[in-house]
Amino acid sequence: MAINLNLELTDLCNIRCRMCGQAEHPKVHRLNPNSFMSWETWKHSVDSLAEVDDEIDLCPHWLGEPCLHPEFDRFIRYAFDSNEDNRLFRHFKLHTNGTLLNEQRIDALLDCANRKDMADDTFRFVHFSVDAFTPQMYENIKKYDLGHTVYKNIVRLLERRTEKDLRWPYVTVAFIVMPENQHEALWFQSYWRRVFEQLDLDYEEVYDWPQRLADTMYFRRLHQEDQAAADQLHREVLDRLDILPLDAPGAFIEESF
Amino acid sequence: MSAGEDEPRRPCAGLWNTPMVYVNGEVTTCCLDQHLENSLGNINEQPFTAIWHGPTNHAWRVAHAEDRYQDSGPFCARCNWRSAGAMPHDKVLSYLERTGEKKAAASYRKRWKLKE
Repeated sequence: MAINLNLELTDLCNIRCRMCGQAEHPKVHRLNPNSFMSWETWKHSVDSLAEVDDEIDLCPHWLGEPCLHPEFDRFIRYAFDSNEDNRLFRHFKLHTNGTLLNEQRIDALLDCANRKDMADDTFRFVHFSVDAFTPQMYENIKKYDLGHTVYKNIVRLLERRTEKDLRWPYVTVAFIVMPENQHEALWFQSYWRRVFEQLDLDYEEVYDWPQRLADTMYFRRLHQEDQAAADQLHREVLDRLDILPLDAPGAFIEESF
Repeated sequence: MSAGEDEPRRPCAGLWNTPMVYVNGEVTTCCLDQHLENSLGNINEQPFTAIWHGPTNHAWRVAHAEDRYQDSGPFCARCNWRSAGAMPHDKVLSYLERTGEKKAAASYRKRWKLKE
């Protein structure tokens, strides 16, 4: 089982998701002021993977939005430039809110995915936390009117990947099921089905951490103190979406992240 | 598989699989440990392997396997644990055997009614 090494490029975020710990406190870790990882820490961490025997999946985030780092592109490029023959990490996994992609950054990420000096599937996936269908709900959940931007950016990444005839990275569009947004789950499903089908892409609809061998719609359960209530709502929505084998053994295998 | 309401608590996969490195290089065991209560060290001061496979995290993994969650990291003791994933039985056992924790492996098999 690979180790998911999460290096937090920043603990800052540019939106305020109501279900996210990052948004709960101005100093999210209650330690130091919000800040960015230094080049020295990033370089040292990446370089030190040469001495690690375990298979490493590198994930450049924790609570903050990684693309906010002013040197995000340089950091990611350094990691890939150093990873010839996958000597440092087997996979790279990007989790983002998708607000800070642009044409240049999309192409830079796809260039990393298209390297010939490491395995084709090294850049495994980009996981987009979307959580809403309408712009109004996006703003309600995330406090910023960026829903249009996020949808445009995700579609553009899928289009550019198709234009470049690349298989990787797979895209996950994630929707955390909450009382506020649960009525939009069906619209979300219909929209992304149409996008994937128009681009002639294989895709999956899942209720648990995706296996990520295809583009994915991920209807995710909320993590909260009253987990039973969140699980109950999650199951009701999945039933409406006709996704879940509700009583299937192995439901919720979340160790696979 | 994570738990239903009444299923006994199982060792958390986070202790094996999800090192979280804070902006300043400090390493903890789990994405839920936002305040770094389970801090294991700083990646700027020690090699990652020494931190992640060091004696502190090993002791916490064994504590989870032996159902002694109060002896694990401070954050683990208070975790609702249903939010995070469970470590698969075969992987817990292979870890205990590989690290020479025969007694812990035997008690784990007995508690979960697993075959040799």
